[in-house]
Amino acid sequence: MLASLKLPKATLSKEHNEFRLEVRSFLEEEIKKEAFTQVSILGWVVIRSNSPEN
Amino acid sequence: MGGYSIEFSRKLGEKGWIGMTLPKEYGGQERTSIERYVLIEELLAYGAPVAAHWFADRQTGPLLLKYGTESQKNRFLPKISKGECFFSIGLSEPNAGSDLASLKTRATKVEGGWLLNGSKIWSSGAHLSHYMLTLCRTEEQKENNKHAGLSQLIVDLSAEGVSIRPIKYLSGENHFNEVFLRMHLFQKII
Repeated sequence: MLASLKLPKATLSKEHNEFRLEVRSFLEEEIKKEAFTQVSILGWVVIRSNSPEN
Repeated sequence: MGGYSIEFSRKLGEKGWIGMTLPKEYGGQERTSIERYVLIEELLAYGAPVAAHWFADRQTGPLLLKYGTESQKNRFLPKISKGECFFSIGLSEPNAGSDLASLKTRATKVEGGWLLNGSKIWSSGAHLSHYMLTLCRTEEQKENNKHAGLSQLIVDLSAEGVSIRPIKYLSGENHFNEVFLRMHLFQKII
């Protein structure tokens, strides 16, 4: 079934790669500034500290 | 999906990176799907806090562009593109998850609009969104086509008759919700 699907071919152009760099530059600045917390790690810590062996 | 930040979503909106494939007349940038693909790939790789605008950008915007009335497009799409209007999705129900054709939430036509009655579950971010795109039954189910007679209504989550109950993780964090709907919708938005 999947093999019979004809998907359009898409290649990334030079402009796409330049856009990617623009996005990365923005994110480097914003993510660093905000220092967003990874909730999944917090969740693991809470569960572990509540487990019987702890 | 990353965390929730109105500020970050607004910044993306200012850069024209929400609803970026939408027509300019509705606040979009008319950029290509490949450009959006590049953007999303980077946002997710960085763990950027995209949850606030995620569904509006990914689903509601394109859906309204294709099926919405001119009034709906003019009302919602520019705000979605600016990162000022957030949507959640009301699909699953306590007794209808993967089989959406069996959902029980019903909208009954009444004078001036619809009477909506039912509940949704696992609605991501409903407690933080402005609207919920709500799948409901507007006609009786037909034996030969059980998916017929379903419609999607735009529900203002701050309206009277909407009650949102958070479903909390063990960590205490809240992402999913159960949403109870018993209300009168004055505008048909299918």
